[in-house]
Amino acid sequence: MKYFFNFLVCLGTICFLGCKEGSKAAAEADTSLADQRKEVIPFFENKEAFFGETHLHTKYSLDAFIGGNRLSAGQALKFAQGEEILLESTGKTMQLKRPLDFAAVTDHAEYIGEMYSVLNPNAQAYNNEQAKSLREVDGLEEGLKLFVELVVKNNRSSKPQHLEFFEGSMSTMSAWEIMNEQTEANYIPGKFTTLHAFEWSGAPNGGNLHRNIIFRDTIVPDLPVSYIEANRETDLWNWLEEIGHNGSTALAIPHNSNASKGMMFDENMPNGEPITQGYAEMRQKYERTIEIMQIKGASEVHPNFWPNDEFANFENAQSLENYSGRSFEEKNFVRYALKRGLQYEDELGVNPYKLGFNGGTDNHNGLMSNVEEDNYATGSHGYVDATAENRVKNTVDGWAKAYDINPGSITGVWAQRNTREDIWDGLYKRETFATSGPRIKVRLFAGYNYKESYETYDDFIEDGYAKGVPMGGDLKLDKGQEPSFLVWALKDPMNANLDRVQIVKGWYENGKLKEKIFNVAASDNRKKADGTVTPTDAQVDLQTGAFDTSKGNSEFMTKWRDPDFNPSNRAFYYVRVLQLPTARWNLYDEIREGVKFPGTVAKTVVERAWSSPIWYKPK
Amino acid sequence: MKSILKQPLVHFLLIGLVLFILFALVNNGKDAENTIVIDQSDLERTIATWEMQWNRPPTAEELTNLLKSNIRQEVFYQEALAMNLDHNDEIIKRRLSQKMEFLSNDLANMNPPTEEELRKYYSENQSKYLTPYRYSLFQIVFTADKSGRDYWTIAENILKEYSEVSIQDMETKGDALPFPFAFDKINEDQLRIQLGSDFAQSLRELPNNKWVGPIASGYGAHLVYISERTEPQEQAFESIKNDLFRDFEYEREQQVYRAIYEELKKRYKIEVDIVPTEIISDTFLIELQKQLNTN
Repeated sequence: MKYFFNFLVCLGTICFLGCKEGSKAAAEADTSLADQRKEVIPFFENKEAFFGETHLHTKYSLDAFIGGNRLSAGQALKFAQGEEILLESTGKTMQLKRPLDFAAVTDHAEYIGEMYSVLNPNAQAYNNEQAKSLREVDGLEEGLKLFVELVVKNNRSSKPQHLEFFEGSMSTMSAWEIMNEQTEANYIPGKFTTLHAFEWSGAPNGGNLHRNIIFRDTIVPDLPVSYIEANRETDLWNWLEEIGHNGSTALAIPHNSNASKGMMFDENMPNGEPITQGYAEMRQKYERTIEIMQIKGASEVHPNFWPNDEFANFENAQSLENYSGRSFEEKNFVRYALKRGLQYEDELGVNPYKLGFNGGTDNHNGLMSNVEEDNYATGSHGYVDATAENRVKNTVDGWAKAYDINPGSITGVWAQRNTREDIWDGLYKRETFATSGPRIKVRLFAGYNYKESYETYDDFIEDGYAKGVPMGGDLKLDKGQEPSFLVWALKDPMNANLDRVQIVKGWYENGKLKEKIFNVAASDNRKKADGTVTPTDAQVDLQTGAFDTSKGNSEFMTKWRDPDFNPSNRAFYYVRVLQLPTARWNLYDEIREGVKFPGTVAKTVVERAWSSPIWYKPK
Repeated sequence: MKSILKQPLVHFLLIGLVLFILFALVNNGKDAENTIVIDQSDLERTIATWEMQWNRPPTAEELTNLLKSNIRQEVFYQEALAMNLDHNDEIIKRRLSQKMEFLSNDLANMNPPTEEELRKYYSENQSKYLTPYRYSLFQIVFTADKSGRDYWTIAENILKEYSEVSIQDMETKGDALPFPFAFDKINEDQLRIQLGSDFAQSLRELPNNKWVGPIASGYGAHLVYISERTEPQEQAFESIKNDLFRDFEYEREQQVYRAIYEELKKRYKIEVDIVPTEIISDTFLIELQKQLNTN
C-alpha cells in the first residue's frame, strides 16, 4: 500500500515538474509577445469607450456550479472574445453578437476552496459525501435543495461558515491560482483586457452587501478574502488596506443596493454608531463606482419613491420584496445615496457615497455581458431559468421571479488604450458609464467658458477636457463664473435610435436633499418651450419584436446650462440617455417558443445609459 | 489528427498497465483473502478527515470507533463487490465514469505541446488564425435626425451628382457624426463594433477606388470609397505561439476525452432489444441501432 502511494507521489511530482517547465516556456513566450504587441496597441488621444463585464460567475462559484455551470474562467473569457460556447446544462450554444473589450471573472470567494476540492480528483476531500452530492446534482430539484442548504442558510446568515469538507486555505489558494492563470492567459493588450478579480459576498441576514474586488495589475494576494473572514464592509476595506501594503492595488464595487435591506447606505456603521469621517474616507478610497444595474434589477431609483420620474419604472425586479424578508426602501437606491453623500460631505468633510456608475450582469452561466434582449435563450441562473417554460413559472431562489430578472447591464470605460492599467484607472477615476445592454456611448463635461457650439466631435471633446472635467470629476467654484455642461450621446449601431438625453441633478440646500430632472435634448422636435417632452410614439412590433426605425436620433451633441445654478450649494449632475422602446426578452420567448407570460410582465423596455456624475463643490 | 490522438492513448494504457502491475505486486501476500490491513496512510487519512471536520485531533476512543466504522464499511464493500451489488447502480456508474473523465483530463495536460506539435496544429487550423479583413476607406454618412427622413434618397442623389469629384471634396457632403472621414487600415472587427455587423459585412463585396453606396449601418446611409482592401492572411507562427499553446491544450483535452471514449467503445457492440410498437416503429429501431453503434 505504501509503495503504491509513493509511486503515485512520484508520478505526481514528475507531472508537476513537467508542467512547471511548460509554464516557464510559456512565460518566456509571453514577454516577447507582449513586446511585439506593445507597438500595436491603438492609442486614442481623446479616449475611446471600451465595453466590458465586471461581474460574472463560473463553476468556481458554489451556487453557479449547483445550477449546472461547468464553464471555467478560461472558457468564460473566450466567450467574451466572441467565441461560441456550449452550455452543458442546457445543451444550447451561445455566442455574443460583438466581442467585449474587457472582462473580469468574479467568483464568490467564500467557497472557491471547496470548489477546488469538488473539481479536482487529487484533492483530499474529493470523495467527501457532500462534495460528491454537489457533483452529482441532477437537474433543478436536487440543485435547489442543495442551494438552500449550502448557500441560502449559510452564506446569507450573519455568521457564515465553510462547508464540512473544506480542506483549508491551501485549497482556496489553489483555486485562486487557477483563476489567475486563466485570466492572465487571455490578456491581449490593445485588444482584450482581463482583470484579476473576485466577489466578496457579505450578506448579513440576507441584506446584500456584496462587493466585487478588481485588481489593477498582477500583484494579487495569495488568497482572496471572503465573507467568512471579513464579516462587514469595514473588515473588507481593512483587508484592502493590508494588501495595499504588500503592493496590491484594488477597488471594491458594490452592487444590488436595491436588495440590501437598508444596509448598503445605512446611516450607521456596522458597530451601530453613526458614520464617522474615518468610515467615509475608507469608503471613498476603495469604492469608486457602483454597479447601478444587473440581472437582479436596476438600483438607480424605484417608482415608489420617485413617482415623478417618468422613467423610474424600469427593471425594478419587483418580486425581490417577496423573498428573504426584503422590502423596497428609498435609501436602497443610488440616487438617494448620491444626495445623502452631499450632506455627509457637508457634515463630515468627506463624501462616503461619491460613486460613479458601472454595469455588470452577475450572470451565473459564465456568459460574459450576455446583455442583448434577443439573445437570452439560456437565462442567467442555470437550470432554474434555462428554458422559456422555466422562465414563465420559476423563481430564482431567494431572489425574484425569473420573469422579473433581466439580462443585466454593461460597463463603458473612457480610456486612451485598452490595457489593464488604462481600464482600471478609468474605473478609479469614475470616467465610466453603464448601459442597460445596448452599446450606447455617453460623455459629459462640466467647466467654464465652453463655446455655444462646435464644428466637430473632436473639437467638442478637446474643449471638454481643456476647459473642464469629464464625468466622475470635481467641478470647483470659479468666482463669478457660471459653469456649463457638454453632453454627448451616440446610439448603438445595432439597436434602436435615441429618444432623449436628460441631466439628473441632486443638491443639498439649507439642510434639505433635493433633485430635479432636466430634459436636455429630444429627438423629432418633441421638446417644448417649458422643458417638457412629448412622449415618443415609436412602437415595437409585438408580432416580430422589431423596433421603430423611423424615429429618434443617432446622436446628441449639445451644451447645457443649469438654469437654477446656485454657487453655494453642493450638487451632482449625471446624464441619463433614453433609447426608443424595444422588445424585452420575454417577448422574444413568446414569439419564438410560444410561451405566455403573465399580463403584468412588460413586453417592451426603454433601454438607457447613465454617465457617472460630476460633483460641484462650493469654495 | 489520428497520430496526435494515438500518443496520449498509448500513454494512458501504459500507465494503466504499470499501475495495475504495481498494485498487484505491492498487495501481493499482504492483503490475503479475508484480511484487512490498517496501515500508516489509512491512519493518517482518518485523522486528517476528522481534523477537517472538528478542527482537533480525535481522542483514542474516537479514533478506534472511526477505524471500526471504516472496517465495517470495508467489509460490506468487499462483500457487496463479491455479490456484484455494484453492478447497475446508477450512483456508482456515474462516479466511475466521472473518474474516467478526470483521468483523461489529467492525461491531456501531462505534457505541454512541443514546438513541432504546435506547428502541426497551426497548419491544420490555419483558417482559425487568419488576420481579419482590413480596409483603408473614406466614408460619409446621412442620418435621419440630420438630413431628415429622406436621408436614403439624399445619399443616392449626392452619389449621382458628385461621384466624380475628388475624394477630399466629398468630405463635407455628409452629416457630422463622430466617425473619421478616413479610416486607415482598420480591421473588420473594429468596424463591426463601430458601425455594426451589416455594414462591415457589406464592405467585402464592394469595388475599390470609387464612391459606392448607399450602404446601410445602424446610423444611416453611407457612401464609401475603399482605397485598399487586405484579404485575410496567415500570421507568422511566432507571433501567435501563445494563442496556439492555449488553444492546443484546450482542444487536446476534448480530443483525448473523445478518443479514449471512442477507443473503449470499440470494444462494445450495442444491441437494441426492443419490440416495435405503434409508437416506436421498426425503421426507427433499425436506425437507432445504427446510430448507437457509431460515435
